[in-house]
Amino acid sequence: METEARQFHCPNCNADLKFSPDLQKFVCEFCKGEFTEAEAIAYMNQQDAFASQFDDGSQQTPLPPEQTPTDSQNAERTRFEEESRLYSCPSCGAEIVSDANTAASFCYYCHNPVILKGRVDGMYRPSMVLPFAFNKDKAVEIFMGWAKKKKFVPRDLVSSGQVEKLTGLYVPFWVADSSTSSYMEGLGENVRSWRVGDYQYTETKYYKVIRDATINYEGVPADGSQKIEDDLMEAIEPFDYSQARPFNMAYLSGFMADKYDVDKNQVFPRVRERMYNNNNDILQGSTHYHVIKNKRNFNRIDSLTFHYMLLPVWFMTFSYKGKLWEYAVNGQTGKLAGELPISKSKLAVTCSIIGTLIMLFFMIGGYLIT
Amino acid sequence: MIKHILSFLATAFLCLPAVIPAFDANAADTSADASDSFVLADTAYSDYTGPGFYKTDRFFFYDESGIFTMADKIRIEHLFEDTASKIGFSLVLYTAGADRSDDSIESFADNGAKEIFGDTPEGVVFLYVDLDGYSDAYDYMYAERFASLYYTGTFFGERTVEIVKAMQKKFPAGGAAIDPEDIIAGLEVYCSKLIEYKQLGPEENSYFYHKDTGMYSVVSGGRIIDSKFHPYGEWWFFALMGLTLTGMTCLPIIATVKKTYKFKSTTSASVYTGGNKIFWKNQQDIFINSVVTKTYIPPSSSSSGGGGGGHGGGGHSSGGGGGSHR
Ligand SMILES: [Zn+2]
Ligand SMILES: [Zn+2]
Repeated sequence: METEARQFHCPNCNADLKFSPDLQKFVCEFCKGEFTEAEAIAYMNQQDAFASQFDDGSQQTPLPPEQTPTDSQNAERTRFEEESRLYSCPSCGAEIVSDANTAASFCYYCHNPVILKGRVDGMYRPSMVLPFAFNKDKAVEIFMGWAKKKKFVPRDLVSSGQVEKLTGLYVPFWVADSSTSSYMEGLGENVRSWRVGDYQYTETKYYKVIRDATINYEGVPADGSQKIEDDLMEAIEPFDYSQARPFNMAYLSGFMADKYDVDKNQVFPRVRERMYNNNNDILQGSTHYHVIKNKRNFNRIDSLTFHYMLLPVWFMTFSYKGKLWEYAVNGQTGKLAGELPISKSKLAVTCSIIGTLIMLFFMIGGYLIT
Repeated sequence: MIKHILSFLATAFLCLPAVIPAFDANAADTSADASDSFVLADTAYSDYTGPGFYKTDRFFFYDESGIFTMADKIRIEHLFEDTASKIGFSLVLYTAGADRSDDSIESFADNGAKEIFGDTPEGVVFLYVDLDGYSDAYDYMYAERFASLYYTGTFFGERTVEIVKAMQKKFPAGGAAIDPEDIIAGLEVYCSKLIEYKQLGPEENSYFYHKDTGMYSVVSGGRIIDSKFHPYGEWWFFALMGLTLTGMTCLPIIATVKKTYKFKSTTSASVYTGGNKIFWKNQQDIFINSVVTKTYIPPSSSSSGGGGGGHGGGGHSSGGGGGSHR
C-alpha cells in the first residue's frame, strides 16, 4: 500500500512515469519506455537500496580513532609548549603564536598592540609546516606589479605608505586526504539538425548515461581560522606540499602564526562540498551530450584523514577612501587574491570618451538626414 | 514626462534596426513613385469588375475566393460601410482565392491602398485575407496616410499585427476547411478593432511623409502636427539616442571591471585529484531511442509573421503595414 503514494521513476532515464489506462502500464514520456507495475516497484526498491549506500548530506567526519600519543610525541608537545609564546589582542580577541625569540607587537588583524598571555597548549602543535619561499620585499614587489597592471586602480593606492601593514602569517590549515565514491545517472540527449528543401529536420538521440568512479583527493586545504576569510584562502590555493617539513619551532622565527579556532569537524562540511562538486564535474565532464536530463548524483566519502599544517601567507591591508582593502599572497607560489578598488574618475573618463564618440556619430547621422 | 521619455528611448534603442532604414525615407519615396501603376495577374485595380466586385467611395471589396453568398456579401458591405463612416477612412477588403507569395501580397496591398481611391485626403486601410485554402495562410493589412497614424505601431507595426492576430482567432487554421461564417466573424473583430484604435487616438511619434509638399505629419503630444522634419531627424533625438547607447555600452564595462577586480575565484578542487587518482568503475552510454521531427520553414519567414515582421510605420514613407501567418 505504501508504494501507491510514491512516484515511480523510469528505469531507463529516471523521469516520472505516468499510468496509461489504455496500455494498463506505466509509460515514460521521455524515452517512450513502458513498464508493468511490478517492474516499476522493483526499480524503485533497487534505487532506494542503491541510494542508501551514499551520503545524503548527513555523513560525519569519518575520522580514524584518536590514538594515545607516543612518548616521543609527548616530548615534542612539551617542547612546543616551552618554546611558544601566545599573545592576545585586547581589541579583537585574536590569538597569535610566535616563538620565544620573536616578540609580537601588533595584531595582524586590527593592528592594535597585543599582550603576552603565556605558552601555547601542546595540543595545538602542528604536524607539518610549509616554509615561506620569499621575503617581505618580494611580496610587496609582487603586489605592486599586479596592481600597476590594472588600468582602473587608483594611483594613490599603490604609492601610499600603507603597505607597511604587511604580515607574514603561518595560517593553520586542515589538509584533507580522502577517498570518495561518485555515481551519476541520467538521460543524455544528442541533437542533430539539417535542412532539406523547405523542411528542417531535427534528430534527438537518447541514451541512458551511467558513470561510476572512485575519486581520490590529496591535500584539500581548509583554513582553521575563523577570522580569515575562506574565499581569500581558497583563492590563493594551491600549495605545493612536497616542500612541507615536519613542524619545527625554528620556522616560526621572525613570523607570526595563528592557532586554529575551527576544528576539523567544523571544516569537514566545506571540504566535503568542494570534493562532491568536483566529483560531479568530473563525471559530467566524461560525457559528450548536449544536455543530460533527469540527472542524479550520488557521492560518499570512504575514508578521510586531516593533517594539521601551517601554510605561509603574506597579508596586506590598505586603507583607501575610508575602507580597508585586504589582500593575501600565497607565501610559496606568489598567487594573489583580494578585491582591488576601482578609480571612479579613471572609469568615468574612459566611459565619456566612448560615449562622446557614439554621440558624435549619431549627431552627424542626424545632421545628414535632416 | 521623464518616465515617458525614458521608455521612449528604451524602445528607440531596441528598435534601432527598424529606424535606420527610415533615415533613408526620401529615397524610399522615389521608388514608390516608380510603381504607380502596379499590376497583379495582368489586372490593374481599375479593371476589377464583374461578379464579386463592389465599390463605393468608402469601400472597395473584391471576393476572389468566391466562397461568399450574395447574402454574405451584403452583410460584409454593410459592416465595412458602417465602419468606414465611423472611422473616417476608406476601406479595402480583398478576400483572395489565388496562391501568392508573402512579398507579392504585401506589395499588392501597399499599392492597392495608394491607388484604389486615388488621392484621398484622409487615409485607406487595406486588408488582404488569404483564402486560397493552402496551409500557411498569410493575412496582411496596410494603412495609408492618416490611417497609418492610428493603425501602425511607431516602429514595428505593433497595432497592425495586434489587429490581424485578433481577427485570425476567428479564422480557420491555414489549409483547414473554410466556413464563410468564421471569416465574417473575424471581419467583425477587425472592424471593431479599427473603431477601437481610432477612438484611442494616433500613436505618439508615428508619422508619414507627404511627397507632394515635402512635409511630414507627425504625432506629438497626442496631436497630429505638420513638420518640416522627420520626427527622428532632429539633432536632439540623435543626441539622446547616443546618450542611451553610451549608457548601454558603459554599464556592462563598469560591471565587467567590477567583477574582474575581485580576485577571489575559488580554486577548483580538481587540482587535488589528478588523472591517476580517478578510477572508473562504470562508464556506460546505453542507446534508448531516437526521435526525428520535421518543421516547415516558410520561404519568406524574414518579412512577416509572429512579431510583425519588418513592415513597420517607421520604415515606410506614407503608411505602414503588417501581417501574420496562420
Ligand atoms: Zn524514460
Ligand atoms: Zn586585533
